[in-house]
Amino acid sequence: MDTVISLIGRNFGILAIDTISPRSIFIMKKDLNKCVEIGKNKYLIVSGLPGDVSQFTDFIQKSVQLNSLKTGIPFSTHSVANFVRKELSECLRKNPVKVNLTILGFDDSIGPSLYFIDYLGNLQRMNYCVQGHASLLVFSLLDRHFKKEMDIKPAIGLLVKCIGVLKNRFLINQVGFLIKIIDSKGCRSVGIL
Amino acid sequence: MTKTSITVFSSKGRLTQIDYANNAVSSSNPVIGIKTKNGVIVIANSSKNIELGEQLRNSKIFIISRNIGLTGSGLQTDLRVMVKKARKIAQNFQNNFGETISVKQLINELSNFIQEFTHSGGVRPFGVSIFIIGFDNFGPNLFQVNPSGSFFKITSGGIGKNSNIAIDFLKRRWSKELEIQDCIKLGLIALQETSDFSISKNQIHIGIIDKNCIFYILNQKQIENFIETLLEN
Repeated sequence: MDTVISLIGRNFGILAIDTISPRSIFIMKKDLNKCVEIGKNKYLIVSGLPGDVSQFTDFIQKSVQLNSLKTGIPFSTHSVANFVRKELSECLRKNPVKVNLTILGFDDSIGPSLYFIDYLGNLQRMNYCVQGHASLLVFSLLDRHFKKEMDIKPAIGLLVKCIGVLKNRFLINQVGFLIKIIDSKGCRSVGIL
Repeated sequence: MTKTSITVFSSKGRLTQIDYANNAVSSSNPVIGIKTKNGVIVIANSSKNIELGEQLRNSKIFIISRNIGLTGSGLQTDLRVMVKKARKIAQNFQNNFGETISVKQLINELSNFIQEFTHSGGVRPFGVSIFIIGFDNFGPNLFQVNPSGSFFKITSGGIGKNSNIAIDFLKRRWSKELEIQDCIKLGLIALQETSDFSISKNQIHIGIIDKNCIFYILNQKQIENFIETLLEN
């Protein structure tokens, strides 16, 4: 299962996503980018059953694009998160889609915001969040070491600690973690840990 | 003209039904809207109350959502249909996106709805022009929507009977720096200019939205206060 660790710092949001694509007991691809950009300043990471993931990601990305073209007004992270939640909860009783999502966005008026949506349609705005089986290992570490309004270097240091725990104790060898940052300048990739 | 299609082009390229709808608006009770950087107001004049009627004032200004109001001039029953649709649009948006709709977005959807009635068979266009006022992330907004579905963002304006007199008056006296109280006085004078009779305090409706982003309609007592200060000057 995919691992996504995300934090909110001072005027930026940072993500660490694993880059492997597994099929049964093999690693099919080692450098997969699972992060999808919505607009200029939002990241959407979807994880779950492979077919559902690609279909739902495409659907959300294109719906948001259509809506912003229709209205001419760019969407805020809050709107996108609520829109995704509504779509998921409508699917829940018609054609259930087993995906968990993380949405990380930067708005000029609000700053960075992080939303986690699970497959039942629970929406929660959080300061730090872990998605996947790794959450069992990493959340306690984040609970202890996370501080609000961190700068970039301490945030990356915290991510290194989390990834260290995973490399130490997690059964699945998630070879590399792609680090991405969102701030007022937009989305960018920092590197692979 | 066949029985099923009502809105068709004339030989000169005009939609006669829309022109007639505009006529219906021009012969109805006037409405004034004024926008400044501190807020937006609308003032509506309603017709004389029915003799032996019990209600002091019938509703002419409607709340669409917490920060958006609507009023109009023309057939009041058509206005109610528009209010119902606008309220639904606003709540649908809130349901989907978790935040209040912006005025521009509401206008886009509402004007598409109004335009459908000029493009379908067996229906007539709406006989109202409306003002939609609101205060959202983009600041104070005043929009006018016509029966054809076209809309304009305006700083001040009037619709209804003798509205051109009111518009001329507002053109001379409007300034961006007016406070809400001055706007109301200005609007009342503009309204007075449009009618030969003096406006009665039972027939005036005033709706305000200011920096608090809550649209509210003044009650009888507040309106009486304004009219008294107006008569003093």
